[in-house]
Amino acid sequence: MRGLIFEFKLLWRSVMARWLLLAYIVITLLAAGFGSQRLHQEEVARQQVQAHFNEQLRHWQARGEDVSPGYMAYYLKVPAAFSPSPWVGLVRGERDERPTQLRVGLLAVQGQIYEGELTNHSLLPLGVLDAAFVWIYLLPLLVGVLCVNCLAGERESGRWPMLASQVSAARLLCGRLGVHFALLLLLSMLLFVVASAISGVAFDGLWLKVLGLLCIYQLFWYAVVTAIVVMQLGSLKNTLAYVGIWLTLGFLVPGMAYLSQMEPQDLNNDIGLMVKQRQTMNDSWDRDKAADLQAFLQSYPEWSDTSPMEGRFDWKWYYAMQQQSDAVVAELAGNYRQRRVQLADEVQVWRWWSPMLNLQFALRAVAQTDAAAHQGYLDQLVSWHNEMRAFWYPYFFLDKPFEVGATSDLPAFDYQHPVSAGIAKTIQQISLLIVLLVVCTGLVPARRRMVPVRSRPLA
Amino acid sequence: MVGVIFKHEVRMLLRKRLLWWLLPMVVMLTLLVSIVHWQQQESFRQTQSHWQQVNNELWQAQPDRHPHRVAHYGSLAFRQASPLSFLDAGINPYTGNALFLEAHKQNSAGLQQFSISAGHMALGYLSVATVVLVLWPLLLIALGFSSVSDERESGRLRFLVPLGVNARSLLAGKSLAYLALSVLFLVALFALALGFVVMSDWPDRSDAALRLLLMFVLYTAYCAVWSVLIVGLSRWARTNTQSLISLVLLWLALIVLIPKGLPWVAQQLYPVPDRASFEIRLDKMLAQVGDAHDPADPHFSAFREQVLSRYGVKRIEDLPVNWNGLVMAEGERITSEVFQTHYAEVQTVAARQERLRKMAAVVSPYLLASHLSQVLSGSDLHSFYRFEQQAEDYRYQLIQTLNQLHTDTIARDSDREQRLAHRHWQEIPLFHHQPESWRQVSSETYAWAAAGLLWLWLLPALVLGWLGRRVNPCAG
Repeated sequence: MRGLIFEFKLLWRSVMARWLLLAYIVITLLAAGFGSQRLHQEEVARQQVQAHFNEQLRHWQARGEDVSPGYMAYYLKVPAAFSPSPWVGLVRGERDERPTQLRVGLLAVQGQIYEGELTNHSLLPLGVLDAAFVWIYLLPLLVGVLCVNCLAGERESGRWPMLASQVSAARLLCGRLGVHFALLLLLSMLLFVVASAISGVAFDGLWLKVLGLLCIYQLFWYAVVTAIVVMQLGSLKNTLAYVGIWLTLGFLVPGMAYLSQMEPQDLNNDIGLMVKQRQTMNDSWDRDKAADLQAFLQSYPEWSDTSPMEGRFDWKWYYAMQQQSDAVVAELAGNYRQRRVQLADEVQVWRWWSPMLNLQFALRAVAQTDAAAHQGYLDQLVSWHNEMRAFWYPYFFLDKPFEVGATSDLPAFDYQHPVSAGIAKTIQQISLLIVLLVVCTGLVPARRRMVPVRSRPLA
Repeated sequence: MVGVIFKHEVRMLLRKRLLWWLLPMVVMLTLLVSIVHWQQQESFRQTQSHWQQVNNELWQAQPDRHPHRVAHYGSLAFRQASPLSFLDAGINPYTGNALFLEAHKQNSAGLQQFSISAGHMALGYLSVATVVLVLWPLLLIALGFSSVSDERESGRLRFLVPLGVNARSLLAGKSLAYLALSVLFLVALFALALGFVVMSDWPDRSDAALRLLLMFVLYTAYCAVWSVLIVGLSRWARTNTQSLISLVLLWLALIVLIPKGLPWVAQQLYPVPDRASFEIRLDKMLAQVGDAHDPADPHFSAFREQVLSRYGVKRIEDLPVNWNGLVMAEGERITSEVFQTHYAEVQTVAARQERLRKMAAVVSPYLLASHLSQVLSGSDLHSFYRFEQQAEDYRYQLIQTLNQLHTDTIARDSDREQRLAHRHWQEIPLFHHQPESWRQVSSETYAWAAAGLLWLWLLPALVLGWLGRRVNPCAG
C-alpha cells in the first residue's frame, strides 16, 4: 500500500504529468461544451423551422373556404428533422456532412431527400474535436507519454540498481502501471460523467455499457504499454514504438479501410435515379394523361374508386404522376440504399484491425451519427411520406370534402431512434485483443524480460 | 562550416536504421495512395463526361414542346474535378458533383464522388497531401529529434565549441540536412505526379504542370519550417526523451488539436445557417414578391403597368407578345436575385470563417499549407463556389432564353396547348464547366502565400536568433 502511495506521489511530482492531465481535462470539457453548444444551435434552428411551418399552416387555415387542397399540398413543406439523441453532444461523427433537417412536401419523395447540406465545406476535412475524439485518439497518447518509459526512465537515470535490490521489476511495473491506470481511469470516468451531464445524456444501461467500453479501451492501451515495456527497448525506442502503434491504428488502418472501399458511386445508378425521376414527371405533361392515371390506379387500386379525369389538368393526376415518378425509380433508389448499407457492413471487418476504429464505429452507432443511421433516417422519411399521401389522397381521389382545419392533423415526422446494438460485441473484440497482447507479452523470452542492472541501454 | 555540419548530419542520418525502415514504408504508402486516388479520379472523370454527354443528348432529343415544359425538364451540370485532386482531394469527398438546373428553383449539388463517408479518418483524410503534411513531419521528428539533444546528452557539444563551431551554423546545417531529405522525397513524389500529368489526356496539362511546380515549392517550404522547428526544439530540450516527447506534443498541437478545434470555434462565432433555415429565409422573401405561376397575382400589378406602358397598350390582350412569358421571365429574375443575395450572405459568413482560419494559420503551419495546397490542386471551397456560380449563370441564361421564346413565339390564347419546334433548344449552347487556371486564383490566396513566406522567414530567424546563442561549453 505504501508502495502505491509512493507511486502516486511520484507521478504527481512530475510537472509534465500535471500539465498533461490538466490539458486532458480542459480539452475534454471544451469538446463536450462545444458539442452541446452545437446541439443547442441545431435545436434553435429546428424550432425556427417548426415555427415557420406553424405560421404557414395558420396562414392557410385563415383563408378558410378559399383553399384548394391541391395548391395547399403543393406549397406546404412539412419539417422532418433528424432529431439528435443527447449522445451527439459527445460524438459528433459524420452529422455535419449531410442535412439533418429536411422540409418534405407531397411531391415525389425521391426528388426531395438527397439534398446536400449548406455548410462551409472547407472545414469538413478538418474533422471535429468532439469528446469521443479525445477519448479515442488523445487518451492513448496521454497513456503513452505518462507510462511507456516508466522502467526505462529508472534505468537510464541510474536509479535502477537501487530499486532492483528492493523490489522485482514485475512488481514495480504492476504497481506503477496500476496506479497510473487507476488514476487515469478515475479521471476519465469523472470526465465522462461531467461531459454526459453537459450533453444531457441519460445515465441508463446504455451509458453504463459505454462506460465499460471506455474502461476496456483504456485497458487495451495499458496492455500495449506493458508489452512495449517488457521488450526493454530503452526510452527512445519505447516512445517511438508506442507513437508508431498509435499512428498505425489511428491513421493508417482507417485510411486503408477507406482506400479499400473507395470506388466511385455507381454513377449510372445514381444519376439515373436523378434523371429518370424528373424525366418521368416532366414527360407526363405531354403524354395521354387519362391513360397514365388509369395505369396509376391499376397499381394502387385503393384509390381506383374515383371519378374520371376531366379537362387538361387535375390535381389527382398531378400527384399520381409524382408517385409514379417515385415508383419508376424504386429499384434504383433501392440499389443506392443497398450499396450504402453494404458498404457500412463491409467496413466492419476493419474493426478487428484497430480498436480505435472499433470504438469509433461503436460510439457513432450509439449516437446515430454514422452513414447507417442517416440511411435509417431516409427510410423513415420515405415511410412517413406514405402516411402523408394517405392523408391527402382522399381529397383528390375520393372527393372527400376538404376542410382546411383538418390539416392540423397532418401526420408529423417523428424520428425514431433505433435500439442501439453492438457495444457488447465491441467490448468482446477489444477484450480479445487484450488477452492476445497479454499472451504475447508472456511469450517474450525470459532473458529479455529480466531487467539488466546496467544503467544505460546500448545505443 | 554550415556545409561541414550538413554533410556530417546527412552521414549520421544515413546510418540510422530507422531511416531505412520508415522511408520505404512512407514511400510505398504514398505510391499506393497516389495510384488509388489517380485511378478513382480518372474513372470518375470519364463517367461524368459520359453522363454529361448523355444529358446533352437527352436535352437535344426533346420533342416539340412548350418552352416552359422544357424549362422544367431541365439539364444536369457536372463539376469536373481538377486534375490534381488525386494529390489533394480537399473538399471533393464532401461536396456534390452534379447540379440539376431547372426553372424557379436553385438546387443543391448532389451526387458525391464516393458512397462512403470520409468521416471515419479522424486524424486526416488519407491522400498524398496528408502524407506530406501530416505524416512526413512525424517521420522527420522520428529521425531528427536527437539531432542537437544527442550532442548535448553525449557531451559532444562541449567539444564543438573550441573547434569554433558557431551555434547558428550548427542549427542551420542540421536543419538543411532534414530539408534535403524532404526535398529528395518530394522530388520523387512530384516526378511521379508529373508522369501522371504527362500521360493523361487532360486538355490543359501546362496549367496542371505549373500548379505541380507551385505545390512542390509549397511542400518544400512546409518541410523547411518543420526541419527548423525540429532542430530548434532539439536544441532547447535537455535530453533526447524530452526532445522527442515535446516534438510529438508539438505535432499534436499544431496538426491535430488546433485544426480540429477550428470548426467548433468558427461555427460558434460565425454560424452558417443550415439548408432548411436558408430555404425558409428565401421563402419568406419570395412570399413578399409573389407567384410567377399566377398571372393574376397582385404583386405583379406594378410590373403589368410598366409593360403596358412600354408597349403603349391598355390591356394585356393587346400586347404584341405573350404576357405569360413576360411574367415567367420576371418571376425568374426575382427568384434568382433573391437567391443570389441570400447565398452571397451565406458565402460572406463562410468567408469570415475562412478569416478565422487565417488567424489560426499564424499559429499552425499545417492550416496554412493545407489551404494553399487545396487552392493549388483546385479542390478548395472557391473552386466549388465558382462551379456553382457558373452553373447558376448558365441556368439563368437558359431559363430566360426559354422564357423569351415563350414570350415571343407562343400566343397567349390557348398558351399551354402550343408546341415549339425542337430546333430551338438544340441551338442553345450546352453547359461546360470551366475550371480556373492558376492565374485566376483569388487575391485572398496571395495573402495566404504572404503569410506563408512570413512563417518561412520569421521562424528560422527566431530559432537561429534565440536558440543560436553562444553555446555554453559547461552547460552544453
